[in-house]
Amino acid sequence: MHLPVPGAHTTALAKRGATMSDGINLLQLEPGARLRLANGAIVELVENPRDGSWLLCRYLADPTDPAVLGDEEHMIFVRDITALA
Amino acid sequence: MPTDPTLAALLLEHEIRQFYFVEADLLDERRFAEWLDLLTDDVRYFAPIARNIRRGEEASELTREGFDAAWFDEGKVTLRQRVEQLATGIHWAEEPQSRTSHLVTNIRVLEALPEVAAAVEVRVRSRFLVYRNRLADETDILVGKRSDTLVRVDAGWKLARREIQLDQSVLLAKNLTLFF
Amino acid sequence: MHPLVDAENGTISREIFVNPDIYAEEQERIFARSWLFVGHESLIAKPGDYITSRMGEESVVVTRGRQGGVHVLLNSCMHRGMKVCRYDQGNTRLFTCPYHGWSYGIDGKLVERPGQLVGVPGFEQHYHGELDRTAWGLRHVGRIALYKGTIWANWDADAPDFLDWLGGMRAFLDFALDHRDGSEGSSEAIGGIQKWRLNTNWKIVAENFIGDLYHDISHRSVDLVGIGPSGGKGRRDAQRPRMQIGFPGLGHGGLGETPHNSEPDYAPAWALYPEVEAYYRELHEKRVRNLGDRPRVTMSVGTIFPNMSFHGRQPRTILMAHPCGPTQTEMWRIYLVDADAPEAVKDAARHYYLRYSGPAGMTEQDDMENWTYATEASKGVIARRLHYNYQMGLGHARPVPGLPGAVQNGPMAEENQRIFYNRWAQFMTQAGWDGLMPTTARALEDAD
Ligand code: FES
Ligand SMILES: [Fe+2]
Repeated sequence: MHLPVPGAHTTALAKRGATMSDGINLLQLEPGARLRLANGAIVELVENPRDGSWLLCRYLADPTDPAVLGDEEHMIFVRDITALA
Repeated sequence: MPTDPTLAALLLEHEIRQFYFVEADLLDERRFAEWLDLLTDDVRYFAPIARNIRRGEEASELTREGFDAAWFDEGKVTLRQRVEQLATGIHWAEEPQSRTSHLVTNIRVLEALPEVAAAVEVRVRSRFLVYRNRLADETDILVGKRSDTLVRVDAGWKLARREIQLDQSVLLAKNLTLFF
Repeated sequence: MHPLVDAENGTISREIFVNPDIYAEEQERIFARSWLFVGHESLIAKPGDYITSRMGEESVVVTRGRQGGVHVLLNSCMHRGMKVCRYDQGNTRLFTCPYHGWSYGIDGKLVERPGQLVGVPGFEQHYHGELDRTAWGLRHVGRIALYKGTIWANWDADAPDFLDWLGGMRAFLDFALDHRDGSEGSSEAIGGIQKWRLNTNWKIVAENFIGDLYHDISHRSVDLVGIGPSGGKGRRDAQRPRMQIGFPGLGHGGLGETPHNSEPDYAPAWALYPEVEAYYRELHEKRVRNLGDRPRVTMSVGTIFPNMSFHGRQPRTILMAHPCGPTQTEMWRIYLVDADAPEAVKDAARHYYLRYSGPAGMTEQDDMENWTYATEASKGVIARRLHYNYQMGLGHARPVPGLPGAVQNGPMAEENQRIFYNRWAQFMTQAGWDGLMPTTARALEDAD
């Protein structure tokens, strides 16, 4: 027997990875845009492949892994974006 | 000439509508030689190929007139050759002849020159649905948009330019023996 | 050999044109290991450019990498199959799957090998970093060959070299792809591919274009009207006598002239367009100088086994007959012009091609009527018990001097069709490559 648990819906959403990025359409972002990621990192959009899911970015700041900073392009997935920075 | 602009617009639209309905009858009654008479001698008849492209790249959605491949990109000489070929009776793709019905609708006069009340040239947009049935069960329904330029000559209107946008990228018919 | 094909006696069971089981077997035995034409380099000129194309029933993406190389990838997501690219053409660095978001890189800055998986949503969190991303890139074809602008691919990495596959047919393909002045390559595709469906078996198309002068009669209506670029009657300008020339053991063939060592006199072929006529006359002079006394051939139409056909003269085009079910074919037509020709020349050619070929082509329309209703009338249980007749010129083939591995059988014969179905039967009955390639083709040519 499976009883509904209060708050289960939002928990499930969070597990699925729902973030503030649900309100952002990546197609509208232009190179140069700055974005905050779920882990606190800040990235700058270098090229928008316009697929609605991924952005090619470079890291400006990353509290967890300073090694990623620099000009190298990284694939950033839409659900890892929490906000425009 | 009516001075009321609404009335003038209605009359013009009515004339154009009648032109299209007569044209459709000529085609569906296989009076192709008479249909040719509705075209100016320098008529342009163009049907680009449609591509599936990414949103935002609409400039490459249709092949370009005068440069690319197309379904049709021709003038009266070639159109007359098509009519002559149909008339031979041994153009096997149309022997026996197919049954067609041209439905022309959504007719809008976009521009009238020099003015609505005394128009000698109009740009018209419309939709077509062409039904073709051939032999027993070979059936095609071809639907799309037409952008025309018509010019007034002594006896009435003539078609000076027609662009046909078929709403298919892979043509789902084995041939285009018909006119749009 | 094959129970349904008696090419020696020129009879072939109608089953192979309508039977779904045989059709399914063809996909495995023929299309999964033949060299197939997938496009023209001029359609993907810039890095990142791509077109979607077909190999048999399958959709493939043909891309130009940042380093200039050409890649052919199966257009199906390695996760759970979604068609990753549903555009006909474009320019991109990534193909991202719309279903769960797997993303595959194309350019060398992102990946070592185009098609590699560069983006997996939830790779750390949900896959726990454990997915072997290098193993799940888009599937590449086994082999690619670029030949004078044309792009060919083969799923089978063990397939013989493309030039061995082509054998002596190469000379005829060259005629279509080379410049009219005789210099190598330098033709390009006019933008836009005509694609359309018709209800016939793909082989009916291939066997027509392999050289069937006999069906000339079916084009009488267009001949009466006359659509050639010189005016007058006929659907093209007068041609010098052509032979059916085929390559037993390879399955290719066409209508053309046997090798000769000097250029025949110029024959006007574009009289309606003085500027164009002058251009071709000048090219003829260049051609005489360029080719000197080297051997050359000409051709009007031919098929490279299994389903690529081409016209070398009037018109000048490439046709793919993509299988689409036992009784359905998707036709793709690409039109060729000399890349450096003046606009007026390209334009006259284009207008002529469009009134000749394709669904609105006044010539091709009658072919398609015949192919469609030949197929329909071969479906019934009684009709299927019968065989098509390919006996014309049986036993009258003779070697072609200067063209090793080739035979010719005069202007009208069904030699090339017998050669084609012999090849078809070989592929359908032999699983491996052993014995499938004659040792002759290139070896003989080299020795020549
Ligand atoms: S099918 Fe492509 S990501 Fe799942
Ligand atoms: Fe033909």
